[in-house]
Amino acid sequence: MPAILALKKIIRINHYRIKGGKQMKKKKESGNNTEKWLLVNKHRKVIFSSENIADVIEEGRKYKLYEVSIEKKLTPGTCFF
Amino acid sequence: MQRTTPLLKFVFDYKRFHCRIPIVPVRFVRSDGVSSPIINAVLDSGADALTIPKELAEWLQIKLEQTKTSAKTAAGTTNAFIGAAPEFILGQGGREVSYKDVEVYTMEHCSYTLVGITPVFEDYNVTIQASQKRFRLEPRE
Repeated sequence: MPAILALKKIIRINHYRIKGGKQMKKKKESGNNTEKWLLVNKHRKVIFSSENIADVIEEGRKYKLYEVSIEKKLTPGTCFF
Repeated sequence: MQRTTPLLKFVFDYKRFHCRIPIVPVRFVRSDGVSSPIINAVLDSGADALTIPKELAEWLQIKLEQTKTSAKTAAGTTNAFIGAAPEFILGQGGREVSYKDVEVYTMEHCSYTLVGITPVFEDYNVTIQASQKRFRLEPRE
């Protein structure tokens, strides 16, 4: 009987470990692009990003002239030029 | 600086950028004729002239010289460098106004493209309709 109780205890401990492990999974990175130059397509989907605008220009030159554009995220309340 | 095409009337809508400040499409052309893609720049009445990131000036192969006096920015005083961009184009999709040999500045700690007083505000009456996230550029007569 004590052996069965001990086994049950081990199972319970492992169950909590697994559950805890799931909870401790890292959240996906949110992709902070505020300081990066972004290459976006006509649907404003980001297709390339870099902190160096020259890299983004070179990537953008692979596309037709008006198919893509370059920008930086300008979140309201963060721009004081 | 020389404008090589007639001024055009523009209405730019910047709702899609989800920001409060006016955004204007521009591009730069190197002396070898290679154009950048469209760059969505900040229309900035607080900037004397076109201000570009140092890396863009390098891509344009612009010779930069340090200005005699430092630049005053919202973030304080900083070192500035001046040069001439071979071609600056305002607008997109065939409705464009082109300027040759345009004075451009780069500044330490400024990594934005700012479209300032020279040449756009000097050539245009600018009306910003901030509530509609739209602005008009009407050529001065």
